[in-house]
Amino acid sequence: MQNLSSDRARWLIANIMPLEPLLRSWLRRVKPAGLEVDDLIQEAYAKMAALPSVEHIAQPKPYLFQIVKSLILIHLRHSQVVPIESMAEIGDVELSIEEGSPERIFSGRQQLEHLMCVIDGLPSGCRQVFELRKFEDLSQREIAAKLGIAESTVEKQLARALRLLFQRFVDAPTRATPAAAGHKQSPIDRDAQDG
Amino acid sequence: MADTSREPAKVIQDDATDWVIRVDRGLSDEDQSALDAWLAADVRHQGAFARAQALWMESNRARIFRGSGKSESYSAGTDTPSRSRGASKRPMALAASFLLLILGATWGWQWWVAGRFSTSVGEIRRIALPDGSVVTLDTDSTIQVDYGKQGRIVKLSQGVALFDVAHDPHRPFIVEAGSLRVRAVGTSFIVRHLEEPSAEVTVTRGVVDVWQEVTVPEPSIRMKAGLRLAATKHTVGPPQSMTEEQISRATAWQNGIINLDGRFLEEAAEEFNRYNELKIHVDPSLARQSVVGRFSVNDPRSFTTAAAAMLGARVSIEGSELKLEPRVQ
Repeated sequence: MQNLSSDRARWLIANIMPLEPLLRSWLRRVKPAGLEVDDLIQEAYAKMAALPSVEHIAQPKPYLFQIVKSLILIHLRHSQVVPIESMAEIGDVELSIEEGSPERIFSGRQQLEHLMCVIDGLPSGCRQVFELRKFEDLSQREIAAKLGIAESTVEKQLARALRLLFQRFVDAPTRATPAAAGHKQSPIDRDAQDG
Repeated sequence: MADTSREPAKVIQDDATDWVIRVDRGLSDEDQSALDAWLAADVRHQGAFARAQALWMESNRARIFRGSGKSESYSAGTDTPSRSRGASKRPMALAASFLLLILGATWGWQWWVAGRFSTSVGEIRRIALPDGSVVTLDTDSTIQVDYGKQGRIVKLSQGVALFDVAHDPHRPFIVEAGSLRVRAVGTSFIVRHLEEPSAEVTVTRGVVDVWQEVTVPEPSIRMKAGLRLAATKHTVGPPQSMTEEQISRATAWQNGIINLDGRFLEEAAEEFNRYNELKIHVDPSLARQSVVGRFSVNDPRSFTTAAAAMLGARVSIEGSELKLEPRVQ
């Protein structure tokens, strides 16, 4: 599973990632006993990355919820005590999805525009390295040589950039303005700046 | 059942992010075994790794929107002398001051210009757009121009158009033809979109990025001058290089000329029929014969006469139809 195909990556970003807020809010309402929301999401991604094909999935939303639902049931079966209400609530999953919070699923264009805003809002040093890698297609080594910095610094900045993209693009998918995104100081920002 | 000794998801996500960047750098054998072990240790590791990889791999697609109204953050960055856009900063500044001058006269066009332009059968029209770009519309073609904050968007709903695009890295110039998208920065290219869902892009100067946008934008393909690419609804073919002749043939219509260099008679007739109400009808037995020559687009009679002479066929006129048939033995 180590090398995600570019097709699968695109499918995950286009179809699954935009559903994360909806999935999270549903999971928080259902509160499956003893299970963490983020754990379930990571497990669901593992499942979807390992699928031999996704072409048959016409509707990613019910599919994703079905996967999460079965993960919850597996966990509950393995636990000693199965709270009756958990099972009942999970049975209602289809209903809950439909009545779920207003979906913020952007069109592909909006999604990419928003991602570009988030990239623009990265702290300048890490944005520069990120753009050289992703937009100019320079290797980490070439970036280090070009900027006269250590390769380990390049690696650190890229990791920081990707973490920030997760925080600002995936975990908080509101359409932040680039200015707001740039000024928001996250713990990771501070860590990296201290370092 | 989750136990309290479980590793928090946040930690896993950060580890996964680090691994993705390490994989991008290149793994030593030792690193590789460490990654394998890490992935095998917990299914959540696998999921977090896939999720991080997906975002990492897909983030370069955001480049399509580079410069869509977010210019402040580039010019403000004094710490980025090495980025490639730095090289073009001076010409851009000049262009900007020029724009400002015009802005006084033509109130606010810079942010909003919209309009629809079309040509009728037989008409070829050159349209100068306010940013200095020029669109040449071939026969029976329609474009919708939409210049806004997001960029310069031109939708080719039908036909063929040649775009000479004025350079403005802050506002991408994007042509939409069906689900095909072509993004240009200072370049010249032709888009043919004769019938849904197919489209074709020919680059005559500069560089463009081409992608398909069905539900979400696909990764773009970079095309240099001298390349042509054909697309259908779901697929984009690989760019093919063109000979000088093919390029001149592809651009000849601008001057009202159809340049045939050994094309099938049926294709040639189709080409003429796009420009004229007097339609050429080719007998199926002649369809696959090759024809050569340069003809004026609005003179199908000369073409059919020449073709008849070349192929030993005969021409007759029936109503608004020019018929090319084999000579009766």
